[in-house]
Amino acid sequence: MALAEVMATPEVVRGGLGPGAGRRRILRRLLRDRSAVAGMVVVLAFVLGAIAAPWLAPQPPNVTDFGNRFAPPSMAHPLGTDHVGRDELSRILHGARLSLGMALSATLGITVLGLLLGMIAGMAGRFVDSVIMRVVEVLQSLPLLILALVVVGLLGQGLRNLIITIALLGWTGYARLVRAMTFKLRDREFVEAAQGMGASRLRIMVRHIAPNLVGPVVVLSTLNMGSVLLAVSGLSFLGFGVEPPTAEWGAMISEARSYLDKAPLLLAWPGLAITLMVLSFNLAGDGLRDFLDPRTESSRH
Amino acid sequence: MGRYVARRLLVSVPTLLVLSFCIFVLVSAAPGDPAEELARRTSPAGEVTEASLAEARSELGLDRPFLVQYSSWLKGAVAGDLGDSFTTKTPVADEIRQRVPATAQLAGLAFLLVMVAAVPLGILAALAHRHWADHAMRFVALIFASVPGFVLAYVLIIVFATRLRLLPVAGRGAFDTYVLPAVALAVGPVAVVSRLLRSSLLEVFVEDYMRTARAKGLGGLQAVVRHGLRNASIPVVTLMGGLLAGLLDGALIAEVIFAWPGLGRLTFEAISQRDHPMILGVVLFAGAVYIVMNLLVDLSYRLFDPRIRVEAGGGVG
Amino acid sequence: MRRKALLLAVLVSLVAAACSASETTDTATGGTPDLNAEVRVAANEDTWPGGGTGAKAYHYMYVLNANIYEPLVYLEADYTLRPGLAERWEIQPDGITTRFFLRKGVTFHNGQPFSADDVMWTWGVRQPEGKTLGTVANTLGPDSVKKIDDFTVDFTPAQPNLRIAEQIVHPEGAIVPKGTHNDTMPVNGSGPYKVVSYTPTQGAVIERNDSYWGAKPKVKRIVFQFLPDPQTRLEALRAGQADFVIDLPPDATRSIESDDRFRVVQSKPGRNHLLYVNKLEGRVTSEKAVREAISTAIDRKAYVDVVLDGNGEPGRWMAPESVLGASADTVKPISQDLDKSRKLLEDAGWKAGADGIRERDGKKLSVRLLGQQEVPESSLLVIQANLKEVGVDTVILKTPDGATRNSLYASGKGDFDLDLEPPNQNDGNPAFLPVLRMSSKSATNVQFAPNAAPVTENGPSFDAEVDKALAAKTTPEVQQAAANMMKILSNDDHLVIPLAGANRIYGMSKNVDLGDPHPSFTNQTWFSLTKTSGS
Repeated sequence: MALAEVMATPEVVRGGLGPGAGRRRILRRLLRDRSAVAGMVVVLAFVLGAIAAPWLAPQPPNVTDFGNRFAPPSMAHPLGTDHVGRDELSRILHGARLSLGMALSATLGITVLGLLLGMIAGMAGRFVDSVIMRVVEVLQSLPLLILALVVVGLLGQGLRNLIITIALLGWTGYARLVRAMTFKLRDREFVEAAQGMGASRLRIMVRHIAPNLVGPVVVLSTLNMGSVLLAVSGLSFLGFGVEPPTAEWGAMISEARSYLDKAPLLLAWPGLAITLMVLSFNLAGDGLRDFLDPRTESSRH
Repeated sequence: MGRYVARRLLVSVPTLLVLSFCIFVLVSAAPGDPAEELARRTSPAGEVTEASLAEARSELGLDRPFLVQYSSWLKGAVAGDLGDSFTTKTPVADEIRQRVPATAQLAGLAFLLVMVAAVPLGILAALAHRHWADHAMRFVALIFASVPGFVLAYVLIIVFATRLRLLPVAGRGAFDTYVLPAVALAVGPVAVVSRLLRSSLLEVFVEDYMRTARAKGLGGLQAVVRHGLRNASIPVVTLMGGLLAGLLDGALIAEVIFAWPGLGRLTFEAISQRDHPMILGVVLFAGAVYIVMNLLVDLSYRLFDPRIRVEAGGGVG
Repeated sequence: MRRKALLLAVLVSLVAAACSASETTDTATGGTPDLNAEVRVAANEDTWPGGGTGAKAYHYMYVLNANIYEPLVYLEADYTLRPGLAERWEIQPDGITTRFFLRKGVTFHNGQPFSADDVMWTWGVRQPEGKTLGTVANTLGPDSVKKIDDFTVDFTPAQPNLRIAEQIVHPEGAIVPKGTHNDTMPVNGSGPYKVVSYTPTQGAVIERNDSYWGAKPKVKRIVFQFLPDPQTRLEALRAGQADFVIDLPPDATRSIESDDRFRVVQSKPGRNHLLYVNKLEGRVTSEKAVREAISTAIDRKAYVDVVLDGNGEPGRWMAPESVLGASADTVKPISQDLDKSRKLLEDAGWKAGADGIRERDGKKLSVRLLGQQEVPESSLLVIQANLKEVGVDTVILKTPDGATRNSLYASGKGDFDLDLEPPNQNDGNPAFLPVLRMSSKSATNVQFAPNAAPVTENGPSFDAEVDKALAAKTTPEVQQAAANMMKILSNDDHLVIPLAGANRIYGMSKNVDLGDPHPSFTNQTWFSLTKTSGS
């Protein structure tokens, strides 16, 4: 998690969508970045695949066929079958559903927590600010995966606990970013003008500050999706993820370990799927960041 | 400077206190009874009786009220005594001390690898800006930043240990046993750090003093090394705290795969065995290490950029 | 231009740095056993410190244990007894006491001579400290062990138990020299190997004890390396980092066998995969018809194929067949019979619902299946698939660690119906497992409550067999009693559902051999380990 934050933060803080950026120009600029487009296309493909998994998948993901274990790729099973004869493609597709859903909900939780607490810290005055920042410092001074492992290990494994843990531990980077930007925006003319007109803090937050945060937060969230995916699969790999027979990529890799010798592809498919999904989120986020950052833009021309 | 360090260290005391309390609550509320674990473990057939359970409970001090347990643990912790492990009966501090070298060496080597590989790669990419090599390196870097560490670890084992027989599969021993886990650990961070260095170098390139330097006739590499690198290192140094954190987190998984007897495996075992003092000890220790590391990182800003005055406030980064 | 040149230079140096090669050598095979050989063993997790070095436990690492320390009586690979530190033993006229006649002229590794005092220390003095072997804990008290003379010891249990000699074979009951305390790692035993070094979580080195009283081991040194992940152990063998691997992954067995650099040695089944059924009131499995339906729904052949890749046999007994001797036939094999299974459920009022899952009075027929850490995920999936065929839904609870599992199992509150476990027969007493897990007197019985009233009609006759087993004077008698218990559990009451017997699988280089793979890993000895000199 830490790495994605750093990847996103420094440039993003400086950039940000100006209030008057034309939508069409932005889109055109973004589309010029081919790798970002490729990333978004793959993300979109994963999303569509995940949504359509029940129709796309040749089989339901948990149907076993003990007579047909470790089948090589074929027409009936494009990615082969696993150690209990389940169709690997079906499991990868349903795994996309789960992984995306999990990463999205965790990222959503992180974003909401980070936005709220960051804006509150930026607007609510010194005392509240220092309390929130102390919490941020506490959480940021901790090894997150170790802590996540402790929390999930103690709460008990399972999807819900995994998401809660990641959300509760991961919001600090967002809060810092949002707070810093709130500080900056607070002193801008349009905010000062609104203040002068007697707008409430809440109104200023919602009407003037929040819209300006959308860009950077989208970038951070996009990049963060990758890290969340990696964290989830890591915890799953260690055995703190979902219960079998649920198709989840990290858990699939963990299972495939036992058959590494006989069927290395069973480790390769979910490994590739995770890598590809994380990669496409990173590409998309990278591209988004570049075009949102006026400085890199200028150095490009 | 001294005041700043003192203030930072002082602030870390409540941090650790809050942390320890949270973990203590979590550990006590979690399912799984360490007394039952102990009773089961001390009986080879895995038998637990009412009597052995009660005995184990009193032996572990779990028959006391929660706050009494916490305060007595805290008293010990202040004096450097983190209590005895429920499972091995040896002092937690000793266990941690025994495991630290393995993890420190691994993470240290990985850190070294990151620096040795990422700095040239970052410079290279910056110099090759808009060249095909830059695009290729960006792509490769992003791929490596996206591969889960445990997948990479197995790929490395299969290629370099099993097929090529160049390196040992797992275990900690001679220097060659360090290579695979350290590489598995370093690859992701190399990708990230080199990208960061590249982009901050690119920013520095357009700054006035760089233009001046080049106008004075300093060659590309000279300008980069003499002016660019120093200024471009600031974001990289900022990353250092996060990088070391990432390495410690990565070590957790790498240690499980490579049978590395470090803190990561200790944590994993402690959780599996509901070894409360050990869990507390490991998390606190890791927290303390982080705090010190982050402090060092913040202090090192001064080295790289005298314009930053740390006394001005804690909110660097 | 200059930038390009620099780019090239850096690239070249990177490539040069990446290309460094080293040589590997292959070892030839053939020749006679090399008495000076060193065998590098990739072993499972280091369990030695599992019991801690504190007040209550020591010498836990079974592998090392069987080599460094010795019990009074060894348990052979066919589950017969062999004299260890006791040369012979006999039941005394009082009908309760077992008298052990100790071996003379044995010294511990530290030179201390072995005598009855050491047995007293291990079994008597230390008892109050809690160092009691669980299998005899019920019957053996602190005053039960008496020294008759320097080489004669009496074990008199508080209640009749003629199984003492069979029950003290566990390495936990091995004799340590008098004065050994638990707060330090004991390194002195009397066994065929001595400790050279031990590094927790990393490895251990043991060396032949040249003054051993019996047949001496045929290799000089064994270097253990602890690699907890079975796949890593396999790769260690392939990479030439280990000569010998304990517990190969079953699915890798064939490819190792077909590789002419290696050989695979398998024991007979010693680990029996079983379903323990929770019959507490309120569970669907408290219904006998449901239990029988589950038992007859299981395809044991498929289980062996999928879970063990064929390295085992379909389950029939609760323990290895050989412990039951001639009485093994008392327990009948259970074959898959889906029609019978469906009919049983149908007759009990469980009717097929819309989604194929049966229901009765609006309640779905769903069972919670618990699989602890060491249970392979595939075994749970086989059960789930089998049960689905007869309309039973299965919720899998694969627990990541022992603590979570134990909290589910804790006295009388276990929220699950089936528990899949692969217990290991590491005891010479044929009735060991059924008594341990199912006797109402046992603290670890599956009713989760000591002395709970038997739920099924055959509970009383089961307990009668337990008493018979304790009082049996001859081996066939106790074998019959044990077989009767297993019949009640698996054929009559369906409380223990046998799934499969799993072999122990060892992989090794061609020049290494293990002659007597023990079905029980706990009791494995390394006397037969040999390595022929190669290069």
